[in-house]
Amino acid sequence: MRRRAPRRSSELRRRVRWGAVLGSALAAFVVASVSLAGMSSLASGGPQTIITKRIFPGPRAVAAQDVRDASNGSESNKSDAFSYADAVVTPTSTAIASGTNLYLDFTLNSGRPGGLSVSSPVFNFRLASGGGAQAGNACFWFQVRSGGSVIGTHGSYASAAGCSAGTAQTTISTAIAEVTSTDQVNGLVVRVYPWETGTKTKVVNVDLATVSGSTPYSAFTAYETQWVDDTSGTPATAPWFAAAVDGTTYTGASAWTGAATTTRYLKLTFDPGVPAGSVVTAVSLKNVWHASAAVTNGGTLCYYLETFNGATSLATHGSAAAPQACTASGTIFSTDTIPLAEVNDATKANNLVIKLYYWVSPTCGGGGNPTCVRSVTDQAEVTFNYYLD
Amino acid sequence: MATPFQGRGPALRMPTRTSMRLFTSGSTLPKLIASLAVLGAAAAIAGLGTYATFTSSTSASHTIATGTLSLTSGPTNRLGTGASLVAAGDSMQRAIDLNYAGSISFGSATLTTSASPSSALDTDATDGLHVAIDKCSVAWTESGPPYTYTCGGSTSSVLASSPVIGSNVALSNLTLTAGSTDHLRVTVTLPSTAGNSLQNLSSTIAYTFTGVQRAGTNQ
Repeated sequence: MRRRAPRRSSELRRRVRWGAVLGSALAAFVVASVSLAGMSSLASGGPQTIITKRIFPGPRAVAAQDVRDASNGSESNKSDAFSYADAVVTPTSTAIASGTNLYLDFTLNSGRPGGLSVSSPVFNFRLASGGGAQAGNACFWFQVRSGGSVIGTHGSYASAAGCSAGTAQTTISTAIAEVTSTDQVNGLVVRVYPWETGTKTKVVNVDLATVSGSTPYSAFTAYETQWVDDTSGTPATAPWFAAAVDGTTYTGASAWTGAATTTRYLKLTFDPGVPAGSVVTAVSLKNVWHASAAVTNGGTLCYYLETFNGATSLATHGSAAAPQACTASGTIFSTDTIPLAEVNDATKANNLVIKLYYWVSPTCGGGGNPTCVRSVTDQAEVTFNYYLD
Repeated sequence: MATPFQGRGPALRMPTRTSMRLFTSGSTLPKLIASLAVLGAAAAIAGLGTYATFTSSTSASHTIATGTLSLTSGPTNRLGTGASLVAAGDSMQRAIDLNYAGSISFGSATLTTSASPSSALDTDATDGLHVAIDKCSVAWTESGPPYTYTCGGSTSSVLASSPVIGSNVALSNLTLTAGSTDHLRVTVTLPSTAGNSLQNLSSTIAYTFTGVQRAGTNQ
């Protein structure tokens, strides 16, 4: 019995201490409440609902991927080799066998509004064996890269993403579900590891490398703006000439004549993928160019342009009598930014075709006249400003 | 044979069985207690007598009544008017009158806002919606919709641009005097820095103005 007394005392002290703590807390709460209390009154406003546009206004620049050259009066296809399944193929620089880890990089354009979700994205790749004795099939696997990181891998040397049947070009469309937004599509890099299965290694001919899919508002196709061929083990970079001012140029097929005519032109076609219903606020063409050589005897290389909604003429900018621009330089690029106010809705934007009519003024060829020269183009890009309510 | 205590009183005896008589009727202890009680009562009465003096009393009463405090909005209140198709850099102006009534002046006012439904428009404190409030000394002149307001008097800033969601945000330059009205213009802005992640979103904002009484004074 004597041993229990200290325990009881200790327990009692503990209870007293807890009581003191709780009491103090209660007292503090009461004091604080009293201190903060006071009369108040409320007035309310709203609720106010604020909804943002589906696509914010902004510029989206798209290079001409389809280019036709009619400088000699007959149209020829000078389009980007990887943008269309058109039998315009590009062989790898080197014959390539399985397991080499040598690759082709395709960097895609950035013409779509950012921040949009993407559904059903696919990588479209069309290839075939270069053929020849003991040739086999062309096969590939690939990685999808965004922001410098690999976000998806499709196939392997052991399990190809797809193969051609010999030299017959075959398109393989592979779902790339890891691409979920236009932020990723813009500037996406697809690294393709191709190989040829023949007993004697061959090159691989590539016809198409695009990514297609849909946003909630429209379908799109992303075209390459640059490709890198590393099949030799030494990467070689080849930008698409129209995409940027980078010194990679396109020189016209033939010299222009001494008179403007609608049968001689450089034709540019664009695929901006502007969603239906968008409000197109401004469109402009950026043409960066010069003559292939200095124009002699006081002559100049000039052009004016005509815009089309498909095949329907929309407007002309300049004329044979009043050129849009001229230059005599064979080295210094002229940069012309030409507003195209007539392109004022999504339909016209998506069907936009521009013909540039070049000629040497006042004439060319012959004794004492300026030399007839070609045009050299470094960039041909249209910027579409639009939004979607 | 005589003991050393022989001839002395029994109380001086060593305790023996006979001491039990202290607790019996007619014993010594009750008498002792009764004596102490009498002495105590006498001392208490003597003490009271020592401190006593002449006294007189009267009574009075007073009534303490609290004042009233009332903050209301109107007649102008456009805050319920939303906006759609908002783009980065857009702003929305809405007017609201705050009326102070009651028998007590206000000492301060605050604004509390909340969003339901909510989105990044109201949770992104950097690029999301911001609110600013101006006061006009006279009623704002409204045009629109979309509403814009001009002030025919003098303007002052009530709230500098802040993220749209806030709790008990202090408001400045208000009149706060009972019987007066403050004419406010609430401007909600989506900053031009708002990126594509803020496209196609919706938030509904509720505004609560709270007026608090002036500080206590001697009455």
